[in-house]
Amino acid sequence: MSPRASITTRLSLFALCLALTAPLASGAEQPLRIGVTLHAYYSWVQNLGSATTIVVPVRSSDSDPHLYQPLPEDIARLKTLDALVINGIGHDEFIRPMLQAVGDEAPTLIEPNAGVPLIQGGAMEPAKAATDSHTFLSITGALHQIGNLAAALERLDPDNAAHYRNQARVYKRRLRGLLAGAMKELKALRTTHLRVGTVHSGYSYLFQELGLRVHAIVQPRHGIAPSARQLADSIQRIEQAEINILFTEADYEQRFVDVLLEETGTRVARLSHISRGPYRAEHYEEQMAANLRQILDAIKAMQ
Amino acid sequence: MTPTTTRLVPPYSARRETLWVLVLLLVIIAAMAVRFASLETQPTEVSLKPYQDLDSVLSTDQHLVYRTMLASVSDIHDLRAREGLWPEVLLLEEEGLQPFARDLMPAPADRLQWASYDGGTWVDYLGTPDAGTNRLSYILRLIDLHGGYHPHPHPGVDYDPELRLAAQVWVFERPVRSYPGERLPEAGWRWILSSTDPLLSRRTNPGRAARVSW
Repeated sequence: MSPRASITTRLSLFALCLALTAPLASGAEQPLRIGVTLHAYYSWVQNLGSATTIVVPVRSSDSDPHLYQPLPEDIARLKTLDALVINGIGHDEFIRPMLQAVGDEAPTLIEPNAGVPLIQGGAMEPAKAATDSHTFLSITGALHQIGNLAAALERLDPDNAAHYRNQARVYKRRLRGLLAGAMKELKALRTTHLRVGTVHSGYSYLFQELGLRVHAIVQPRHGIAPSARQLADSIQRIEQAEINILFTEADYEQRFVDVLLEETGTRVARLSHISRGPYRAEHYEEQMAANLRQILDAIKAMQ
Repeated sequence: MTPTTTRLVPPYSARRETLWVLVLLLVIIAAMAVRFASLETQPTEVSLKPYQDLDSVLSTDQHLVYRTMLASVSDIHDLRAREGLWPEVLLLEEEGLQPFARDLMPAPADRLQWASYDGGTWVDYLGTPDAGTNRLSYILRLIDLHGGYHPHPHPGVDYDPELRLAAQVWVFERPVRSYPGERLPEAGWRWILSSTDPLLSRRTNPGRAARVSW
């Protein structure tokens, strides 16, 4: 390589490095360390922050947020965070004692659910049911919370405010594209004969935005393998509500699905709760796309 | 030799003892009932103004319109920051913002007709259903809290001082023929609030500050 070519290459590489680190150079010296309690929040912050944030999950990727028991090192990790994104409405209650344990060293809390409308938890008795915490299981809920998250990051890191706004715009546009595609397909299908059941109320947000009514929620308690009696109760509910399409969870054991199929003859499809699997920026989009595909395919099979 | 005295010691009254145990049990049960009743009522203790309702009064279809209107607020704020003006309905539709982009809404929410009314420091987006139906009309009202003039009812001191934009969703029980103007409560409109609205949490629990603002 000639000396002139070498200098040109070095200058090009230097310029490239400058371009890649532009948000950092113009803003905070260190990327913000943002903790997250749920998989959806990992994907959202990763998409909003890119080079300006380091996203730190506070629980292992294969743990169930409903059953999670924090370890001492998880609590210690909280002290290293600039901020922590929490659900705050019932889906990550494990975080409360962890925050109490770190006391004054607790990070700034970001609650993206502030102002997000909630759906009552049980379709069987909506007036008595508590509100449901699975606001992330719908595109509309995600759009609202991503807007809130971007605003919170702007406040924490004002030098990179324009970066967060742009990233939010691009990410939200992609999510809207997912919903637009699904709505287009759905509007071409007949849905009046459907009687939809789900295994837990969290999917109500998703079905509401698709204009599909949930006639029954059949699992008595989410996240726990049903007992024989609970399974019998689910079968009774499916039959009473005349459910002809049941959406279970991807994590729901096949043997329980088989029993439901055998006893009720209803069509069964699986949806992701977006609570497990590797932490990745694309995880949320991929899981929601898969959920929409499952719903559309199940309805198409019933035309 | 000392004289002998006789003292009669009656046996414990089983009846009296049973009575005291029963009284004690009743007191414990009454205390538990009072505590249980107070826990039951705590979540619903919100102070609403006469023209406000919680979103639990909305049906599933109506709730979706409500949800999507609030979800679009940060995008409308962003568009206004870029364009310098409150964005018109056509732009919101082009940007794919629900509920204005009707192809992203299921029936019957996809049949609402939208129009905007720019008040300078505030804007109303009015959504009206087909005439002759018994469906709700909607207004999404956005107020620039740093602007000079705020429409009635004034956002007041309930808002976080760091908040730039206040969002209100109002509903009217049937299709409206014309824009009702600034004074919505007097025209019979109802302001819908969700239980997670920072306004309510500030009013009921002043110690918890809203952490998100536009």
